[in-house]
Amino acid sequence: MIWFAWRQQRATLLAAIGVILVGLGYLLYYRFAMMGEVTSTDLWSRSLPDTVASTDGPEFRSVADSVWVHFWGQAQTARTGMVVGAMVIGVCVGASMFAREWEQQTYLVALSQSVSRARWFVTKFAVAAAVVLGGVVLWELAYAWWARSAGNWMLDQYLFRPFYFESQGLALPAYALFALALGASGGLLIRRTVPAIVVAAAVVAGVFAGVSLYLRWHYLPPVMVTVPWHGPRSMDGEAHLMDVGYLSNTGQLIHMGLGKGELWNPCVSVENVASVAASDSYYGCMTQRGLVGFGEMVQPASRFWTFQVMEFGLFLVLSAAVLGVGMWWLRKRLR
Amino acid sequence: MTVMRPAIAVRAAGLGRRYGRSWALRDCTFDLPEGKVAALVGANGAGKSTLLRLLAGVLTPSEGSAEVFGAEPWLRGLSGVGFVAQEKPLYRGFTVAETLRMGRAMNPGWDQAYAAALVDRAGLGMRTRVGALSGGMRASLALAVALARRPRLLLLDEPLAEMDPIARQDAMRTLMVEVAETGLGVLMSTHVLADVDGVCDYLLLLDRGRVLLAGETDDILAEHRIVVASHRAERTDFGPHRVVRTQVSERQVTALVRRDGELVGDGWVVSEPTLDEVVVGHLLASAQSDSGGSAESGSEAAAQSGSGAAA
Repeated sequence: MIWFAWRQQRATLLAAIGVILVGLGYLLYYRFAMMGEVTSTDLWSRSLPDTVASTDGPEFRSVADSVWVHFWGQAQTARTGMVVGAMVIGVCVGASMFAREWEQQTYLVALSQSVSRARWFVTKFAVAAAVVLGGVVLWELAYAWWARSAGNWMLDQYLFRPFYFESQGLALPAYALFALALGASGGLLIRRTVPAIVVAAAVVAGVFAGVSLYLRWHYLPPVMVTVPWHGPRSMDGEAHLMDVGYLSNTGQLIHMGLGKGELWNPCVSVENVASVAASDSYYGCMTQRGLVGFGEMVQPASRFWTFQVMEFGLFLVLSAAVLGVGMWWLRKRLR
Repeated sequence: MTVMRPAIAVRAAGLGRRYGRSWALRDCTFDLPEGKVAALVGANGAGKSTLLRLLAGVLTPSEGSAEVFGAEPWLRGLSGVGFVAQEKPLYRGFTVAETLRMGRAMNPGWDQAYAAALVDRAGLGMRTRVGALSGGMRASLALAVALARRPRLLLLDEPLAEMDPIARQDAMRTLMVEVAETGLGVLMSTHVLADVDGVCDYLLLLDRGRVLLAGETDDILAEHRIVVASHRAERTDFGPHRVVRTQVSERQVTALVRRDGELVGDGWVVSEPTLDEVVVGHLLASAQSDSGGSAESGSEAAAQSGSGAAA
């Protein structure tokens, strides 16, 4: 049965494997290209930094920057390609899984054998999922290998941002699984490959936008970080800044926008207006008016893996629901 | 000696299937005993393919129920039933050998040696791609895949349509050998009755989604008579016998009659019809009744007006 599931989807899966190999080639090529440049500019002997920010010395900085900047674009392309690629491969492989059986009428063969519909559905999906998910995990491994080969500069920034978050960890296979499930069930309901691809792609893109731009920030309530008037900015560069403002002594975050001027306008006097931010009297006045400092609402970097697990769980549930609809349709509603 | 009631292979009760608003099959009720070679006959669009697909479990009914060997055919895989759809669909990218491997992978009782022998007899190379086969060869391969499952019942939708005369004969011979040796039952649709005449022992006649006739061919033939009566004799008074259809010419009335007991009349010439005559008579009567009320009054109207279409 596994042989049949593979043989029957062989052309589609080989095409998917081809795309996966091209992606792998891209990741590995730029990994070696970057390391070649690191070696040729002798960055190793200057003790490679963990991040761009921790470099010391103007000369080193310029050499390092030229390497990073040179490969920044490629890394961005790689991340985008991985995330979009995983979803596109998933949708295309998924949509052709069952829709083509209807287009070519071969479902009449498959469904009239001794094998049950449920086993047919599950085996076909599992074989395709093994190939697609295996492929995107290989992408992630290659990307991580590239990204970690010269410090963490590619990984440690914008951890939760779209394309950064999904190109690591559990999120990428979760997106691929969801796209595959949508394509498969969509193909089963729509029965035509191309319309099923269009519909599934639209849904995947919508869910991706909704999750990465909005929902992800609300997996857990953000943490309020207090920054004293003269204290250093406590926020690390990896955390995601959701909101910033003045912090009141009641723990409220007050935006520095219009309409709140009555709070601090009285503090802006003629003598300190020239250098407002640096003025002790200004901050003293602000403190008197009940503002204790700056407040930052952040999702700390330490939550990265928690969020990965939560997003993985979310997409696992979504995929199971979509597959459940497909299975129900196959068993109860098949026309 | 006790008479064993034959086991029922297919039991349909009020079976119906709707596509949108139009019914492809409606109120279909019949029992098909095990081990019969049954012809499923009807015009195009009569519901033959729909019925076979319902029985093969690739389509779910809109109403009524069907049992194949005592179980509903859909929802689970078919056991003991082979099905070849009208389009003879097979995976076009597969080779013949891969097609047989598929059969083996998906059916526990698969008989590989038999499959290979059938394929060989049909002159198919194991390495030929299905897409490169002619329509008739593909039909032979599809039939081999269905047969090698060693089913107890074979559902065939126009199995011979694309075959050349020799392949047709060969396929029918293969089927009949299976029937004789293993007690295989066959339900095959056709609109060429000549293909199955003399072979089938059960007839299921469909017309626009409804069952017109269902039963053993011998019984059906024994029930029906063609009566030729002189025109001036009693016109349509056939007593208790049911007139299926009458044709009136200037000199005589020819009627297909479903008799009830002895059929004798003054000046009547009574003969046994062929299966083809029974089928065509019923189909034409049904077509007439469609425009003129019930079957009974339709045939009477046809008899009186003398406007019956020629068979």
